[in-house]
Parts: sequence; structure tokens; C-alpha cells
Amino acid sequence: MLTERIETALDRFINPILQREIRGTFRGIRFLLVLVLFLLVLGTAVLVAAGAVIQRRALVNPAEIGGTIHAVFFSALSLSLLFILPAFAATSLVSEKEKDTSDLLRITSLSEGAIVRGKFLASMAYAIVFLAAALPLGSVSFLFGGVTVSNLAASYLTLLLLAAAVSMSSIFVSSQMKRSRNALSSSMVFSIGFLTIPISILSVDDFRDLAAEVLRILGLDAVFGERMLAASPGLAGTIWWLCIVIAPAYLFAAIMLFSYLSAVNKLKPWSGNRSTSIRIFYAAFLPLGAAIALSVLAEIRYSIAYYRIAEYVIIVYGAIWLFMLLSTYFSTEDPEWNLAPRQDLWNRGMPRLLSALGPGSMRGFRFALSVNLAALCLLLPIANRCMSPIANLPAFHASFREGVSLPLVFLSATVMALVFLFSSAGLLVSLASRIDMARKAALSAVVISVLFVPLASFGLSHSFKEIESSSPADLGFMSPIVAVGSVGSGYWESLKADSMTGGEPAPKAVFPYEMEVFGSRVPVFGGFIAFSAAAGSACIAAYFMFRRRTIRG
Amino acid sequence: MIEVSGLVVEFGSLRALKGIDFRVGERDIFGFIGPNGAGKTTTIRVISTLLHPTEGSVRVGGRCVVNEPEEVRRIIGFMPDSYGLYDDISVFEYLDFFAKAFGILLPKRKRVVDDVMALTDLGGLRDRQVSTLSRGMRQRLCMAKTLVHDPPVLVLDEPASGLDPRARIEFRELLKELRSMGKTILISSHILTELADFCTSVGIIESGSMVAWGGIDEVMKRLKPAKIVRILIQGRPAEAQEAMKGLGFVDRFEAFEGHMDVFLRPDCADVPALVKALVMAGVPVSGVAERGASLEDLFIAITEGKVC
Ligand SMILES: Nc1ncnc2c1ncn2[C@@H]1O[C@H](COP(=O)(O)OP(=O)(O)OP(=O)(O)O)[C@@H](O)[C@H]1O
Ligand SMILES: [Mg+2]
Repeated sequence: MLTERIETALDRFINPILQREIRGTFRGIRFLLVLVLFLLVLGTAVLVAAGAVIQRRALVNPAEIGGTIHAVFFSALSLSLLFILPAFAATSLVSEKEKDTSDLLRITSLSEGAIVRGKFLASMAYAIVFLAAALPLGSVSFLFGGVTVSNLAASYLTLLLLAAAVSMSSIFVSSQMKRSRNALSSSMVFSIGFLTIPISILSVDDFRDLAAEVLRILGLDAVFGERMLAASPGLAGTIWWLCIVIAPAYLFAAIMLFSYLSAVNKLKPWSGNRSTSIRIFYAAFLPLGAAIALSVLAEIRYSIAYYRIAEYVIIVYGAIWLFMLLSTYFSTEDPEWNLAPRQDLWNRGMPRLLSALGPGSMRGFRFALSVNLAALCLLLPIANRCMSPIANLPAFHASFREGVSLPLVFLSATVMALVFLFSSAGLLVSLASRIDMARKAALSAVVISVLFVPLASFGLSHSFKEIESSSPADLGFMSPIVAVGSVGSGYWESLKADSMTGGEPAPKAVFPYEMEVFGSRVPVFGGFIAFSAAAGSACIAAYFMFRRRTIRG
Repeated sequence: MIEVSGLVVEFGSLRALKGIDFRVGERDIFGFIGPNGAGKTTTIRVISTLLHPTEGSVRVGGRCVVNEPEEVRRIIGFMPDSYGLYDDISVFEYLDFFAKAFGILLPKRKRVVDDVMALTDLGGLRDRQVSTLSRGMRQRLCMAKTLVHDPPVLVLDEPASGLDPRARIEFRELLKELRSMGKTILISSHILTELADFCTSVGIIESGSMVAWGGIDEVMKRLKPAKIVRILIQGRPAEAQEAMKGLGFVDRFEAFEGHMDVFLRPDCADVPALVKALVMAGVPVSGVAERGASLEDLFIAITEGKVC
């Protein structure tokens, strides 16, 4: 009787979708098996990986051992969440379409918002079960010490936020798709983004302080941050709030809001255009403008702190922007995206040069252009850094006045990076628009990694000669931001060094002018151009190959 | 209860509905008939607020489906042609879910679900998992789901397809019971016989246009096909054909070995005159039989086999 009373009292507050998902999903033997398997794999991974680190470093201090276990546990758990959750959430709305239940849902009294929220809560419930099940494993580190309860709490809070972002974006993808398989592959692409974007940001040299602070808060310093922590005092004051709380919260809120509103919009039988999400999208410009203004201010006042803040804000916005762009693109399974023949573009008076660059329709073109604006957004910090008085303000400004063609060099680097991104993005659009979604996602991933991994590792191999650390930056080789950034700034620094010594080669080159290619020494910029050209031609070749094949098929 | 006027739906360049009009009065059972691809499902989806009409207006219970979809959803029960079931929960949980989704809260909800299960004869299957149900059971479950919020208007898209004869009869009984409960029902089918004996009005759609609609008798009368007479002859077919060409009431005929089917105009069919003309022409007539026009003939005659 009592349980019935409680049930009745709570009924009003429980989302029906959540209730149904819990009844359907959590009861089956399959869920139990997945959970058991997850724990086995997680436990084994922690045991093996932590054991290996401890052995290699010959750790004897219990605090260090505890810290290592915690760090490995946290990494393994976040990684597995990034795969388990999309697998659950990405099918949530698609499977309703596949089972022909989505129409039935839409004509109940449930609002579109309630449907999306129900799915989101179900996914969070799923995540929480996994996180809770893993908790005893995580507390093993307490046996050794070196990790505080607040470290563990901060780690779990981070994991919950990660779970929320992954769930919501997967549900968003799910709302746009008609097939589970496609939703799944696209959500995985996002998950990888959630992994690489923060790591990329943290691995930019100038954010070493931020990275150190994050590692300290999460209790990961024992493994990743030894040297970094020694060199870094961490963050304090306003910057701490901005970098640790405000900017991540904003990034999180923007992703959640965008995904939520777009999913809700999509569920509406009509008036389902993307107006709300587009408005959010443009709202992201406003703080970006503020950040640019801030960097101008910094230029006037020669303040490093202002530069740092501006840079950080710009990068966060670049990330949001890129997320939104990619999400709208990857997740639109809309037949209209089957691009109009290129001929149409000529007729509509598109400039020939632009349409020749790749995209076969206005929409594709707009997308490519946006991607490049986003790239510009991400490149701004580099420009910012190059112009910032990081090392030697008077000499730097003197070099400007003396008319060394530094701006020209930098401009050409930017233009090249832009053209490179433009052409590859445009070609991707053209390629993808003619093949089905699963292949689209897979192909995009392949192309992106083929294009950026060599470029990035090339950039990193140089920039990390200096630091010589085993920071999370090692993982950053995925990030084009880091790559382009280190190429640009490295070259810049070396030129600065030149100008300081009055035209003589700098005594200690920060960045080599030349690199070895097949035994001969090639100027770095020449290598960059050659690489871009080769990658571009490969794209074009792939494009024609695929176009012919898909037209025939 | 349902008023459709000038309804046009376009899918890109395809004009699926070309301006159709009909009305379904209160407590009517409206049979919505048409061949595959005629536009039945499309019309039903517009009525159920699932599809935006390109042009025209649709009102259910006086509410516009475009401007007041929430109100329409509350008074309409929609059953899709694919049943739309969740396999991983039980029959009770399935109905409980939809009842909750319609905002029916707990003490009342248990009773509501029990009631619809009794009505659709699902009581014995209460705790069976949906994935283990047969097609007939699934159909009943979907029907039960449609009734869960007690809507005065039911819109059923080919609810009886794939059912065995017995289940069909049971389903018909259920519809009659629902009608006696005061519900207005729109039911689509491409099989006329399925509807003919209990519908109060019908609408016939073909290639996106309404061919006819109104009370069932009226439509049947209006669409009355040719009267068919089978005449058995013992030879001389050429003379027989020659003789019939002069008769104004003969629409057409089909000659076979030993007999011929003569299609007469329904308004002025004169069998004695036909026989007389044949005998006068010296055709050895050995028998005359009237062949009733089947509903199949009617269906073919209406739709002219234009759509497939
Ligand atoms: N979503 C859609 N996109 C494009 N065309 C559609 C869509 N839905 C239906 N059609 C087209 O509209 C026409 C009418 O389809 P509809 O499903 O309404 O027919 P129906 O009368 O229900 O047929 P059936 O008896 O086969 O169920 C068909 O030509 C169909 O191809
Ligand atoms: Mg249909």
C-alpha cells in the first residue's frame, strides 16, 4: 500500500519516456551483461595500465601509486563513456522512427521538449548506472592515498558533464537521422571531438598554466603533470574563474542548448526550421567580437593578461562554432543535401573560382565558407600570439617599424592555412553529398586524419623539442589547431629572434628554417606548400573518383 | 467532426493530394477507400496533425489541425498502418506509457488501462512481452493504445489488413461497439467488402482526387456499374454480335466459347428486348443468366485501374 502511495505521489514528476526507457532497457539480461563486461574491461585496463606505469617509473611512494591508479581509472572511464553513451543515446530517437513509434509519440500530449528531455534523462540514467558501478573500482586509489575525496568528486563531476554533453549531442544527431547506423557513426565522430577539443586546447603551450590547474583539480598530476606542475604556479583570481568555471560552463551550456533546441525543433511536424538554433549560432558571434576587441585593447596596453584572456575566449568560441557547424553538417540526412549539379551554380551567377573549389551547391558552399571562417577564428589566436609581447616587446615592435616583411609572411601562412582548410572542407562536402551517411562519416574521419596527422605531428615534433615533457600535449597530435599554431608561431619566433640580432641568424634557433625531406634540405614553408598541394590534389583526385563511382552506382 | 476542404499535399514535385473535400459527421463510420498509393495515408496523416498540408483546411471537432494541433491531438485517436509497438516492455506497460503520455495520472490510469484492455480483449495478455505477440494481438494492442485517452474521433489507417476472417469479424464488432459509445470513426481500406456492411458513409479516393463521397447507399447507387447478363448460345456468334450492335442499352460485350457476357447500361437495361433481338437474328439462345456485379467490379470500375 505504501509503495503504491509513493508511486502515485511521484507519478506527476517522472517523465513518461524516462519511465518507459528504464522499464525497457534496464530490465533485460543484455544490460546486465554489458555492465559486467564494462566492469571487467575497466578493471583489467586499470590494473594493467596502472601496473605498467608504476613498474616503469619504479614508483614506491604510496601517494604516487594512488595518483597513478586514479589517473588511469579516470582516463579509462571517460574514454569508455565516450563510446558507451553514443551507442545508447544515438539510437534513442532514430529507433522510434524505425519502429514507427515516433508518430505515435508526437501526437500524444507530450511536448517535443518533454520527449527530448525524457530521452536525455534516460541516457543520463544509463551513464549514472555505469559511473556508480565503477565507483568502488575508483576508490581503490584511496588505499594508497595521494588522491583526495575532492579530486574524486571533481573527476566525477567532470564525467557527469561529459556524459551530459555526449548524451545531448547524440540525441540531437538522433533527431536528425533516419537510420540507427548513421546516427551511431555520426555520434561517434562527435564523441571523438569531445575528447580531442579539450585536449587540444590544453596542449597549446600558452595554456600550460591552465592544463596544470585542471590536472591538479582532477588529481591527475601524478601521471601527466610532474614537470608541468613544477614549472607552473597554476591560475589565480579572475583568470582562474574565467578559465576553470566561466568559459567551460559557457561551452557546455552552448552545446547543450544548441543540441536540445535543434532536436526539439526537428521533432515538430512543422515550423520545424532551424530558426532557434541559427539564432544561437549567431549569438556566438557577440562574445567573439568582444574577445577581438579585448585583444585590440591588449595591443594598446601591451598587457599579456588581456592577450591570454582574449586568446582563450576566441578558442572556446572557435570550438563552439566548429561544433555547431559540424553538427548541422554531419547530422543532416536530408535529401536536399544531394547537391545540385555544379552547372546550376554557374547559372546562378556564383563566381567561377568559388564553385570550382569544391562544393556543388549553395548550401554546400555556405558550409565550406563557414568552416573556413571557423578556421580563421581558430587561427586568430595564432595571429594574436605572434603579435603579443610574449618575449621581447620592444624588439618585436621595432621589427614592425623597421618594415621587415613579417606581416607578409604571416599573412601568407594564414592564407595558406585557409585555402587548405577551405579546399579540403569543400571537397569533403562534395564527396559526402553524393554518398550515404555512414560512408560520409567514415570517409570524413579518414580524410581528416590523413590530412592532419602528418601536418600536426610535423608541427609538434618541433614545438616539443623545447618543452621536453610528457604532458597531455602528446595526445594533441590529432589537433590541427596545435599543428598550424606551432608551425606559424615557431616560424614567427625564429624571425623575431632574427630581427633582435639585427639580421644575423639567431644564436639558438627556436624553429628550424629547413627540414630534411628524402635527404635534401627543404625550406619549411616550401614543405608546407608542397604538403598542402599534395593533399589538395589527393582530395581532388578522390573527389573525381568517387563522383564517377557514385553516379554509376 | 472532420471537415476536409480543398486539401492539397505536395511532396516536392509530386502532387499526392489534388484538392480533396469531404466531411465526416458525428457518430459516422466513414470508410475511406482507394487503391494503393491513392493518398489515403497522406490524408490521414494531415488529419492527425502529422503532416503539414500544402493548401486547404482540415478541421477536427471544429479545430484547425495547423493552428491548434494540441487540441486536435486530444480529441483524436490515430492508429497507423504499421502498428508502432515497443518490443521490450509488457502489454500493460505499453498502454500505461501511452496513457501517461496523454497526461493521465496514476490512480485513474490503472483503471483506464484495465478498461481498454477489457474492451479490446487483452486482459489475458496483460504481462506478456510485446515482442511475443501475434499479429492479431498486436493489432488489438495498437487499437487499445488508440483508445487510451478516450478520444471522440478515431482515425484508423488500414486497421484490418493482415487479419484472419475471424479476427476481422471481431474487429467489426469492436467498431460497432465503439460507435455505440458515440465515437466518430474514419477507417481506411483498399478492400471495399471490408467496409461496406457497417460504414455509414464512404469516400473513394483515387490518384489524389476524391471520386465520390457521401452516404453509403447514395454512393453505391451513383456508382452502380453495368448490369451483366450471361447468354449461352449454341453457335452463330457473328450474328449475335451484329444483332447487339443495334441495341442502344448495350454498353459492350465479351464473347467466349459458348457464351457471352453482355454489359448493359444500368438505367435502361432491357433483358427481354435483348433476348428478342437475338432470337430474331436467328441466334440459338439456350439460356440467360444475370451475373451480379461484385464489389470487385465496382472497385475496378471506379478506379479504372489507373493506379497501382
Ligand atoms: N513522405 C513522402 N514523400 C514523398 N512521396 C510520398 C510520401 N508519402 C507518400 N508519398 C506519395 O504520395 C502518394 C500517396 O501515398 P499514400 O501513402 O497516401 O497512399 P495510400 O493511399 O495510403 O496507399 P496504400 O494503400 O498503399 O497505403 C504515393 O504516390 C506516395 O508515393
Ligand atoms: Mg496507406
